[in-house]
Amino acid sequence: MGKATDTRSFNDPKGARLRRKLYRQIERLENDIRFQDELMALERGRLAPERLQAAEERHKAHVARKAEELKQKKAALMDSERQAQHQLPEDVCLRLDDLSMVFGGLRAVDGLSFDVKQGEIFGLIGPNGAGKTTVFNCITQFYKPTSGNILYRTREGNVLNLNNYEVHDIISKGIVRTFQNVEVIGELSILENLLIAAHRQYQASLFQQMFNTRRVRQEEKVIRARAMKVLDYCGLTAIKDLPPVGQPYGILKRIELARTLMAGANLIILDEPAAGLNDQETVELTHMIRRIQQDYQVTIFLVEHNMGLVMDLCDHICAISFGKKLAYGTPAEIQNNPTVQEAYLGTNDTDAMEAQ
Amino acid sequence: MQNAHDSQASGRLKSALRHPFAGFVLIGVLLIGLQLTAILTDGAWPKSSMLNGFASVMIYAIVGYGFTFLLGYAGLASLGTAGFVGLGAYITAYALKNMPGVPYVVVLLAALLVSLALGAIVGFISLRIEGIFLAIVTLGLSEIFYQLFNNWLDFTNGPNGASISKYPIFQTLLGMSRQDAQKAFYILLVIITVGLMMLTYNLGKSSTGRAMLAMKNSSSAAQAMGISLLKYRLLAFLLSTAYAGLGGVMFMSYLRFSAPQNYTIMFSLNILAAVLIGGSRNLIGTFMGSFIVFGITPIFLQDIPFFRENPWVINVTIGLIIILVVMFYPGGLTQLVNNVKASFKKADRRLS
Amino acid sequence: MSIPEILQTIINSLPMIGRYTLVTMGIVLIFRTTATTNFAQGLIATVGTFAVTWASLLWTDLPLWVCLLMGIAVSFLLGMFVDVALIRRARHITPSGKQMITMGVMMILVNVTPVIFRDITLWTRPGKSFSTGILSFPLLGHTMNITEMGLLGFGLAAVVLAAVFAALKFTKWGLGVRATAANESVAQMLGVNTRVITAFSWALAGGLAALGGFFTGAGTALNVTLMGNAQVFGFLACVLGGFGSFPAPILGAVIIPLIYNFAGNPNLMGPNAGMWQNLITFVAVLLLILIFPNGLLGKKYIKKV
Repeated sequence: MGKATDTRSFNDPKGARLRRKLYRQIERLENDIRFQDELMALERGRLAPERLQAAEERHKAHVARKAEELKQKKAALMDSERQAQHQLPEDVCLRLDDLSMVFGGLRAVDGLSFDVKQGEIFGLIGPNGAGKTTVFNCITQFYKPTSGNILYRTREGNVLNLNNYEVHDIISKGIVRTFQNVEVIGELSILENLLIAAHRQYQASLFQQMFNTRRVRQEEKVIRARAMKVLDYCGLTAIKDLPPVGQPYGILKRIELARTLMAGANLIILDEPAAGLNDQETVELTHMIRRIQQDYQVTIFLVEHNMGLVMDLCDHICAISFGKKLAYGTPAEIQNNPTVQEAYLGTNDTDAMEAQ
Repeated sequence: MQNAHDSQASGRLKSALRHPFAGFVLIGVLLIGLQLTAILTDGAWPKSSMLNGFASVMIYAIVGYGFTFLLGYAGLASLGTAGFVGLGAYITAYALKNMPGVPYVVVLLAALLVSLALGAIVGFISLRIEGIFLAIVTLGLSEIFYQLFNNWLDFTNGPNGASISKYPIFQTLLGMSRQDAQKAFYILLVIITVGLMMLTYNLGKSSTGRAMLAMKNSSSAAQAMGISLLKYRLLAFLLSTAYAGLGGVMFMSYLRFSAPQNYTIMFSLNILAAVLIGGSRNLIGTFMGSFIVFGITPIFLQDIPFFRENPWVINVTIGLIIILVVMFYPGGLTQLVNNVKASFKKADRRLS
Repeated sequence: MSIPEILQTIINSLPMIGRYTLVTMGIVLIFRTTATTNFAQGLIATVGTFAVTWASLLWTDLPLWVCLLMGIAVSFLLGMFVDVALIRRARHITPSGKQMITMGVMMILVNVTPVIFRDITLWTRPGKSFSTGILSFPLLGHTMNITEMGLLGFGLAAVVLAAVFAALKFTKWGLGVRATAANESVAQMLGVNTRVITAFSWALAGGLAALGGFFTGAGTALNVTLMGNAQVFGFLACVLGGFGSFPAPILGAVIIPLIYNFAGNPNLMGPNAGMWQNLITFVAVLLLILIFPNGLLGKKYIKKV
């Protein structure tokens, strides 16, 4: 695990810098200890016995100090190496590792850890103010977490620590998200809203765009075709040229959802997709999410208040409260978990009575 | 019975007219037409002062197009435009006077590069914070530019202003007479203006333009879709400085004289007004806005003594228009025109 | 530079500090309560200063401080008018839009003021003039000089600002301002009359700026561009100090005059110091902003997404 071959540096530049620094410090410490030992050996042959004892004491103390330092540095290096391993089991898409987000005095997220498995639909539930949207914002780097790691496996199989990336780089890693307050671009048509979602795939340069070269027109054609397919898939073709202003809420939510399908994503994060929808729209949404999971082969991570939808759709659920994990499991396990019931779902009195 | 060939041709004409560039070309044709009429009537009409007025409109429209990206697409306001225009003008004057062998194109590029470099520095510092602070920093920049233009005598000749004696290319290279060179440069200016309109339009319709609009409407959504706010704000600002520098070069090349008084905050505010009035994303609108703000005075009002003696009336009116447009008609003239068209269509439907 | 020179330069900065802190206080009051950068601030101050002159020339028997109050009142009302009539009505537009409205006001005022106050160019009353006396006092063993007007300006500014900060901290109005500054809609829901609060903030800002304008213009020829520099540097002071709190921009407003006076010192900068003074100050401030993008005392804001 030498410095020259530290290929993990692409994924974790900060960690790589730390390890390089630690290597240098360890080398210096080891050199120093060796030098002191050899110096002492030379002095032993020279000094008079009275001076010798004091010198030996000094040497011992100095070496002891340096050795202690060396021990610490080596432990730190091992730690960093362990972290840099970014070991994620093959079946895990996203792992939150002791994630904390502190705002001033408020611990919005407190030591949260869970795994989201590849290809599943995962739900995060919790009462209002539990920190669910904060978790999303941390994952997508809208907030930089105070501590903890967010490990993610890309489609190509690389394991990254998302904390090393900026918010506008997240989408190029294959993670797309929707927003709780629907954020559509009012000054663009619905079709153009979808084109924006593929922004990073436009490779033409500024000059090429100014002169509307063939490259630019080809890119437009390709991405427009993809947008048309997605619009069709989501049932939005009829209104594609209209601005989003004035469309019903359900349509706006569908536009947000359609946007996530434009970027060839690996992980789709949905922030309260059913908020504000009536019963029928919610059922349609449930079908749509399941279809997307199957047709696009993606992992879906959602936050929802609508328990019916969550229990119906999700393969695994994590319940949190006040930023801390309450429970993790399948929908059935969560429903029967007493802590969750108490904090969130409410206990079933007849069951409790029958138990007596 | 209509000839099939006729209807095919008229169909093609109609679709050509609907092409967005049609409007630009039309404006160019009209402007060149004015010049040709002047040549034919031997200077009787349009008078050369009127033609100079139209030239000013074109030059300021060029500056306005750069401002379109800043205001209309990225939603930022800057008060430093004047300084960059002046920079372009003074660089042109200095280079053409003191470095006679240097080709015009090189001077143009130099002016652009200097504007871009300065814009990059200023933009990077101010846009890292929040977009609205750009206005504050450019306000300071504008004052600095003004003082620089007034005090750096070696470069700008101070309050007396800088000038060039001959029209570049046409007089210097091709040896035309002054009057002919002026006419030829006017036509070159029209071509450049229309060309820039097309380039700006293309860029606005491309993914870059959409990215800026996304940023303006919802910075969070833009970031989630991979758009770096700093990069695109800086890009919008750099485009505006580049266009402004180019405008300055054109200013000096055609009007051949420029003094620091031209480059005050008033000028930046007038550009802002021109872009706002026309509708910040519409290029024909910006041209119209430039015409209203910069053209009406020299072309029409100069002959009316009241306005000549009381220029403040025009400026106050423009200030009022800025306020009214921002408060009630943010889409400017374009919005007005669209609303009128829509109400005609409604009336049409009701009648039929 | 020797120690007495350094000290004297600092003392020379005091009058400017007085004026700039007043203008900056106004700017930050407006920004924190209405999220607007008021580009007409300098002109509102200038109008007030012109009004003082006009009043003192018209009614020569009135003591000067009465005329000063009248001028302050003019700026007070003008600021209130801009808020109530314009900014309030356009509450739902972008911050950029509000900026542009103030730019429009700036444009109107710059052109209208010389027309209204047509014959006022000099600031002297027949028979009276401002004291040009210079006070000397010892400081750290060296003799320092400061003009009487300058000291008065600094002293008055310090007192007024202390009063404003005291009001912010201890009065009901101050509490309302701080609540509105933190979150206007929540403040409204809690019963704070934000309309009155913001109108009064704009008005107060105008008044403060007019006071600053008075000291800027006293004894000099008046011109529409009187407060141009002050406004620019006032805004830069806010960015430098940090918009996040009320005292932070004041720090900026103290630092910038210091930089300005050191930048203009011929012993330090050579014989042409005056020409490049503004440029050097501006570049220095920009560099500081580069290093401290959130201001010297600024806090980084994390927007809720």
